[in-house]
Amino acid sequence: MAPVFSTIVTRLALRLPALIGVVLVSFALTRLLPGDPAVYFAGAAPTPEAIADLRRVLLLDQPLYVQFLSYVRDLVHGNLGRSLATGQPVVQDLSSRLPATLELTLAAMTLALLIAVPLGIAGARHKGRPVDHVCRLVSTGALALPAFFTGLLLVFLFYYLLGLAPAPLGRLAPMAFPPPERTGFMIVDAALARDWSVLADAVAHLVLPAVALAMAAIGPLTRVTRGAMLGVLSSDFIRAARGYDLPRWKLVYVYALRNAMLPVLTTIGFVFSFLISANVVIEKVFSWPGIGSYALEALVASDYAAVQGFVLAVATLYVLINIAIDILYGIVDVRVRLGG
Amino acid sequence: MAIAEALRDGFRRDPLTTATAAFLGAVCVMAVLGPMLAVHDPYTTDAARSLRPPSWSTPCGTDQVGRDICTRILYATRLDLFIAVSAVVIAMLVGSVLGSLAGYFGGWIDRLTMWLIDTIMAFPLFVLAMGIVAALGSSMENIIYATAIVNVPFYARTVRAEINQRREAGFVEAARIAGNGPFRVLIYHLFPTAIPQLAVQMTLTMGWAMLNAASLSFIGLGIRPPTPEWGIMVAEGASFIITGEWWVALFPGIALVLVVLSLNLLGDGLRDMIDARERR
Repeated sequence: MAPVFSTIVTRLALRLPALIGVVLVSFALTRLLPGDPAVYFAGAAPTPEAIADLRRVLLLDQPLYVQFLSYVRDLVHGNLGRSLATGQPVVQDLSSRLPATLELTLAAMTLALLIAVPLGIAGARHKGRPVDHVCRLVSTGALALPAFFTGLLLVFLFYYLLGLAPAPLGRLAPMAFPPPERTGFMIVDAALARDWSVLADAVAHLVLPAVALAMAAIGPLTRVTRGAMLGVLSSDFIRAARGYDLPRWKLVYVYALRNAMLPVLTTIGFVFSFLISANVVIEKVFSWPGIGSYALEALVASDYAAVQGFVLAVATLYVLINIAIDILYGIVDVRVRLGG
Repeated sequence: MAIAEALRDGFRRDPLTTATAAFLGAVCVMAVLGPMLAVHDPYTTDAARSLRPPSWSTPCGTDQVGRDICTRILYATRLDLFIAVSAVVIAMLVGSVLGSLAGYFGGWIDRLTMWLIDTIMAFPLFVLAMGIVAALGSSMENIIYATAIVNVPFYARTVRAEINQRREAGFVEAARIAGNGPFRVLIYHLFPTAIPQLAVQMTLTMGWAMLNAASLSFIGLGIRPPTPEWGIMVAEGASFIITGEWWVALFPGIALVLVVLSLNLLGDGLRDMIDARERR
């Protein structure tokens, strides 16, 4: 276990500079607010005294490094400021809405992997045949589809024309009674409460946004799976294994796939960037009550503390995901584990 | 020129890439001549003709205030192309300078540049662009700057790798011995060798820059209605999708998808051509 542990530590250390950079950029973004932040926070009809007071409270009269240190101190204490629109601390708003976003993103990622990996493998195994053309069409085509447009097309098709999907208005039907909140994941909560009609409703509401979001991830995942499988299938050890007359499925799905998974794992980390980004527009299209639509409401209301809190929270989430993938990579890949 | 020959040869062998290049050429002509080709005015509203489905006189239908959608798509082409091209050119220039310096001099310049790049890449890029536009203020220029900033890493990395790879090559050594200073060597001898890869990178990121800018407009940042822009037009049509007026959002969306798809196909094709040339 010791090598795994040291891998984790080295990998964490490698991500540290970027994390410091993230905090610096977030700080810079809060100081770039249009106009004077004090005037902005003072409200509609500020008096000069109120502005001066606020400047003191916001430390705007202090040198930049003092402002930065106090910003970092606030971050460490989980203080991202207060939202003007909801009147709540931004951290509280974000954490109450995060499960909805996570549920949607994870569903989309699972869906994307279930489609992209088999398709990429099939494309690589039957190079130049029809399934390979489908594979290449998907990997190029999906990249050209803006998430908001895919979402709207799906709504038009499955809600308006076919009537199969519920209206794109959130996680449950308006009259449905939400299950007691335990995990914040509607599907898990409904299952835990053994409320099957709500569970069916939640799943029905999740399908379209998850498919629309998955489209953002399918392109790169298919392309990388196909490329990696092509490389592995033509490598020496697979040729040798073929010589030993191993069953074909074992060759492809055990030996080749395991090796091809490494580049795919790296891409998963990168693809989360696409997913988190597309999430914002998908939440708008489907009125999904996650942190993306929270940020958009904040944007409309010029609620900058909330917007910047969202940016920082999402960047932190993304760094954490990448650290998790780094660790997973270190565990899967023997070469990394042995420090080679 | 070797590159021109490789491209001519490549285009002859690859009809799909040739077709997409021709299509994009036509789109550029439309963007330039748009206002001359349009029959209607993109801003004239007409309540009596609101939300008309596609017909002979209005091939893409009319929107909620009776404006001709086809005309608006035509006018938007110019704006969307302008945003994507400016963002990509700025990113290319900044990325080239950073990548060249990092790749040639190494040391602390390299470490600082890589840290900057890693920091940008530590954000989900669209969300960073959102944060930048929100902080700088909602305007077209800021959409361009934000899109350029999130694209810089790709160019800086490409150029850095290209320069690093040839830093010790014979022709560079020769240029150095001939008495050229480091910047002269870098600008006149090393940087030109990175241009083919840069061109590929530009076509590949152009489509993405366009999606990024359109998504920013879609969520209400940057360009404001009634300016015709594909992202805004889709956003305006979004509420009519669930009542069945599909054409308001569909046609601008298709325009966006077609142009981005062509850019991606062209980028892939160009990359194959240039890679084939480098393998030879």
